[in-house]
Amino acid sequence: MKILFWNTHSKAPDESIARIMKTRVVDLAILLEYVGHLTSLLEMLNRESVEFHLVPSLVEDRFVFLSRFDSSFFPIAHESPRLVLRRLSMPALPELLIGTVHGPDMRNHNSDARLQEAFHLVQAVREAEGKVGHARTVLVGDFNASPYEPAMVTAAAFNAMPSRKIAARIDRTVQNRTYPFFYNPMWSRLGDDSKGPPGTFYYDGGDATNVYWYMLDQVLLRPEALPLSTWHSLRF
Amino acid sequence: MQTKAPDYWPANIATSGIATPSLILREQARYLGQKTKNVVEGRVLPTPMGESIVVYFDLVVPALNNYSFRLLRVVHGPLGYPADVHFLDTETKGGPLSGKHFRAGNETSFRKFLKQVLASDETRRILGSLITQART
Repeated sequence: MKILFWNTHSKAPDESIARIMKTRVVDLAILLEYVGHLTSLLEMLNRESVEFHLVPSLVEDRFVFLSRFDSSFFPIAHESPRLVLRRLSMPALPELLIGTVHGPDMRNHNSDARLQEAFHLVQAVREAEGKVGHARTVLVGDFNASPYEPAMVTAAAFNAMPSRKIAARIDRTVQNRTYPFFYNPMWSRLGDDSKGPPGTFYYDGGDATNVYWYMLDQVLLRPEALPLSTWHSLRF
Repeated sequence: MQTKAPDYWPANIATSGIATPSLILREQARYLGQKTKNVVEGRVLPTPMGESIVVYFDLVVPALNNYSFRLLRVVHGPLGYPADVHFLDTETKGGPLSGKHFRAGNETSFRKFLKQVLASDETRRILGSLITQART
């Protein structure tokens, strides 16, 4: 299963989406803030051979799912303005919980506000995991927070670790409360040693603290999902 | 010491080899997706109802928030045939086939009726309208 995530930032790069999906043999594309015409995009994707389905969300239209598999494989487990979770049930494979996140933007929300939203998003993830009965969860999205920010590393927020060995401990306890880990492979892609650009978003804001390249688009995996994933093939 | 209870079931329980209404409708759903580039998809929903199986065939438009329109309803027993087919058994009226019911005694007659209704003016009109709405 190859997943493409793209925050198109109120654009409709249909030709590029179609090219990437075809050449990279993408199985599931999750688009955020796509403003083009979905039927045109679908017809473009299926022009030569009919391979993709549009799998709409029921409530939230900021997330668009395009998949090689029809919607019966992707029942919705949770849907709210900044988070959609879908169960991914493929024949002969353990079920996954695939989620997509859109964190509050950095320009209008300070670190505290983004941390607070992360608490709510993670709570929704944990509730969905409880309902589906497993934590084989993969989150992709525009978190609008760098891997080292409180929203991403605080125990009660995403609790997303840079080390697989740490994440493999499953959870940690703080003040007698237990918080499950995510593994965040984006830590290994920060800066010039990345195989791609030094981050996923370039921003020259002129603030006193500025790293220019921000890693806002990320993939998080629960330890239970690690054996089923090839995160090292991640590209951006 | 316990003795093994005798097994009265036949040794070889095989599938019937009959193309059931669900199977045939799924084939047609695939063809519909290919013809419309998945702008309109066919969805087949077999639902148990007492000792009958009711199979719904819906037209679904993902770009219209998964709008769905029920084109066919097929009711049959455990053997698949005879099957009672209800075409456009909804509020949509007007054409010569609207609300038409048909009893298919076997696979051949089911396929014959299905071919007739899927190619009908009513079906074309509904599909055309759904595609237009999905594109606008």
